[in-house]
Amino acid sequence: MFSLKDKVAVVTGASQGIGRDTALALAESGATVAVAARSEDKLSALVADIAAAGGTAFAVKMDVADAEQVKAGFKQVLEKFGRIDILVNNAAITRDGLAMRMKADDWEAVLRTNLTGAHLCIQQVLPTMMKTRAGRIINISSVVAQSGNAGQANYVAAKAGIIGLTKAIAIEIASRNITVNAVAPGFVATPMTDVLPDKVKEELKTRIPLGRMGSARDVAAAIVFLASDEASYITGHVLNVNGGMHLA
Amino acid sequence: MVATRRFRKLEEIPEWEAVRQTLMEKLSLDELQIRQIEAQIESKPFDSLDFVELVMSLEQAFGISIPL
Repeated sequence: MFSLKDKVAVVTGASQGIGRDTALALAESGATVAVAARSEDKLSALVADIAAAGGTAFAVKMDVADAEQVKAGFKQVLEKFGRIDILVNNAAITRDGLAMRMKADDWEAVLRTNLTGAHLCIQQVLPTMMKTRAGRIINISSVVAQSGNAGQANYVAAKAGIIGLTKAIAIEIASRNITVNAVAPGFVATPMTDVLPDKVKEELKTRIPLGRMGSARDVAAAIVFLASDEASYITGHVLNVNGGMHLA
Repeated sequence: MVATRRFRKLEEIPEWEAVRQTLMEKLSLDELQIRQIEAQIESKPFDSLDFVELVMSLEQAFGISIPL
């Protein structure tokens, strides 16, 4: 993997799935990782796993949907490490349902966590990244942002919004040597997809040219690359990690 | 305010007046001192991100909050 030695990273939604594997991969590459999520128990276990592997991690209990918690969480990280070099906006929830019957609460909760949450976190890291004239922001979108998906109007809208947010901020802060990119995972084995019936999973696999579900590790590897010095000339990009499921 | 927009004069930025007032009130700066600061900032072209950074620096350096 690429070297992230001496870098400080924050990963939201780090308690499980892609966020957890991303935190582990960033730590393996040498970064000090602040892992953020709502579940303290899961974060403690992750911090212990990273430490056991020789890395350094710090748990931050934070709900990205809550602006005050986001502010307090990033303040903790800055007080402890003095800087943030990498932000991975991964926190996301689902509240699936047909659009015509979707409850306003379900629409708003998903938009609030998956899109507004990313924006709130970006606002917290920009001042420190602007000062150091360096930074990597990686926002996790989804294949459905490009392909659409029935029953997920809220999730798809939020994940498509992530792509727009990525491109707008990439242009806005490019002059400060801060890159902003999105990763769009396809059908990845995570707690979020574990709940799907086996029949649905098999049907989905038939739509993946590489013939298998992705792993959280596949996505984490793409994130580590975008966080590295080797990706310094890439910004505003959406990197698909989907086994060919959707070719954009 | 478009991030990539470049300025030559602080008066082109609507928010500057609020910053100016805050500096005068909270740091007890007079017109002459403010003009000296303005001249220094305007000595080279700057963009709206520079302006945001300037405000952040002033807030940090003097422990004040500048409402924009």
